[in-house]
Amino acid sequence: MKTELFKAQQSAALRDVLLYLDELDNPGYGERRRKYGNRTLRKLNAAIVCRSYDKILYRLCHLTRAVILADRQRRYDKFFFGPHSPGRVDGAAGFFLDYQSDANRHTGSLNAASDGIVITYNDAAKSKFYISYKQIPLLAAMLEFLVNTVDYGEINNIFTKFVGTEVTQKEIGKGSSQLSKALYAFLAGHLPPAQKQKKFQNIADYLEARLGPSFEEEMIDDACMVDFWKEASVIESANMSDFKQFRTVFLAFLRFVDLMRDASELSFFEKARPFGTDLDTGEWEPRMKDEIEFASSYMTTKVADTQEDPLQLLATEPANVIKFLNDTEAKLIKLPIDEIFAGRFVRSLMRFEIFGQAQNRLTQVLRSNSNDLGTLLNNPTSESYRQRIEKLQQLDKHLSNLCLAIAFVLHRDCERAEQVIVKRLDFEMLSKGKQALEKMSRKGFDAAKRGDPEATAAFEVASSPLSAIRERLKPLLQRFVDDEFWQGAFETDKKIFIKQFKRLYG
Amino acid sequence: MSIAWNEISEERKDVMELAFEHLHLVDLMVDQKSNEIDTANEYPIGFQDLYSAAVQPEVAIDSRIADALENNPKLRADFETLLQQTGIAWFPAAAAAETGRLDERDEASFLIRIRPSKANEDQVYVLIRLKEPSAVQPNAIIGLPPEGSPIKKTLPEAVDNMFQLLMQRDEPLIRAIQDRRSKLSLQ
Repeated sequence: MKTELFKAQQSAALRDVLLYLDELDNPGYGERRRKYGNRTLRKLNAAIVCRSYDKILYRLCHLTRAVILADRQRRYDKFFFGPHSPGRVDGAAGFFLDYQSDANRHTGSLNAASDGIVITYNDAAKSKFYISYKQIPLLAAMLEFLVNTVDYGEINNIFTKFVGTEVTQKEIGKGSSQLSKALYAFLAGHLPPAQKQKKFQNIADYLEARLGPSFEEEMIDDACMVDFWKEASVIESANMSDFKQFRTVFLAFLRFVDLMRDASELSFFEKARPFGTDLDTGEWEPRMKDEIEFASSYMTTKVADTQEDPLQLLATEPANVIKFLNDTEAKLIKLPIDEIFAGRFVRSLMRFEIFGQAQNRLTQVLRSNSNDLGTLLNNPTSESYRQRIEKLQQLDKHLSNLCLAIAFVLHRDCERAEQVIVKRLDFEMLSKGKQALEKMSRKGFDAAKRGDPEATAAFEVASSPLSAIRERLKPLLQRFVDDEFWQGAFETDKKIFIKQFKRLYG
Repeated sequence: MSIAWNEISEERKDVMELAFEHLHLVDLMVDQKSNEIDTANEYPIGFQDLYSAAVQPEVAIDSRIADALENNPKLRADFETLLQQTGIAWFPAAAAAETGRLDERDEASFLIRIRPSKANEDQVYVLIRLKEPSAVQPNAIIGLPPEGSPIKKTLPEAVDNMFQLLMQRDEPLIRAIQDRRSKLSLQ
């Protein structure tokens, strides 16, 4: 059945909610602003998928108590769903610091400092509970997820118990446990337990057979991936059916390589983690405390690197008052930015971007029940590797101009910064920077030309992420210098993918 | 440091597999999401939309929200909870024992009356009276009929603690006020 191609791990309802959160704007007035950042949503996704959400729910209950204490009308809904931007650190901090600055609203139970809040309870030996402002966006996103999945009346009943003057930590813990049960019940119907699908084992077996039992991660190359895909995508077994998409294969191999690289570090978890509860049915239940600890610690480092995501920094205030990169440009470099190994497998990256996208289009046509795949099957992509490389080169040129323009703006507007940032710039480069700025006509650049302080602040903040993006792009472009090779590679790959698409969908 | 596959213990491979299953799932979700954004034009209605429609006077119940509230029992129940939680006054469904059409709804602090217009028999006045002076004044009335979409109407400025709306007799809000099974909220 071709429809099985679209079977995903999560139900449509769960995907809709995650998509909704991704697209959600903060309510209120003025400039459009996404309510939650990518980093927050990735952490939330990880917590949901791993079912490692208990600590988050516990903190959320404490936060709700704090919001009720800080709110003039002792309501929690205005903070989470009104215009306060709880999904952003500055919005969350602003709400509590506003409370702190108003002596009339002070209670002995809540204190807001510059980095976070402390809630005081009377009942416990450890009577104080601290929440950093940096933690609040994830907690708010979790509540947003809850109200879109669990009956709001149930949530409201739990939170209403946090309104009294003498709320105990025990009541907070009880509320948290009720939320956890409600979420577990929802996920039971929408997110099957993580199953041992043998995907990892399939890749390992394939590599063992191809490269020998002593293979190392450096030996894995582009040919391994495409050859694996050619075999695995047409196998009609339940275990291998998820390898139909080349995009899936590429992402799975990147993750496999990543884990092989980390293999020596993972020894820490070996002794602590009994694995599997019902291997006969192939199911795995995250019921062991150690497993949950493992998942939340290792996963968190993987899905939310300690380094700031440069694309995300450009998309948030204050940098987003200037359209440094448009959506198309950001998409061009999203994967090389997100996945550190993507640049190593550059041929597969091109296959992923060009033919993986083509495969998506094919599956979308299938999804719409259209039978007219003939044209698409014979000519699945209108974009060649050469054209994609040109787009990346144009982007590099654009980034270069942006860097010059930034140097000029900072030299012109920031007295202190100029000594550090533009000390190596000569007159000629500043002149080029000025020219580059003059030529730019996207949103916000006119303000920068006028020397608007808000625009200057955006330039100052954007300097670092733009440099980081350029640094990531540079080695990639160096791999594209042989024009003839890439032209030939495209023709070769086109034949491979057309043949395989016809096997799959013809 | 690179390590050969056959030098990795079985225990550690189990750990790697566990991590792989989770992380790969997240990778796919991120990839799926970015692809869906390419093609999808309409996103589902969610809780934030309901909250804004309930609480913000300038946010109307547009056709997408109305459709969602009509067809999705969870959203409808959540919307009702929100109206009760955030509203200034809540008028539950009238007692089942009573029969006939209602021209008056009474609640602790507000009274809603429907009175015919003398100038035009197709029109009626909706009079919402604040029983006692209060600093908190409603901005909108929302009707929640037993079936169909909720109706929201922005209120004008009150004169002598009275809000007055002139409406067509057959408008959905009038029908909602008169239907004893409907619930009403002043927001």
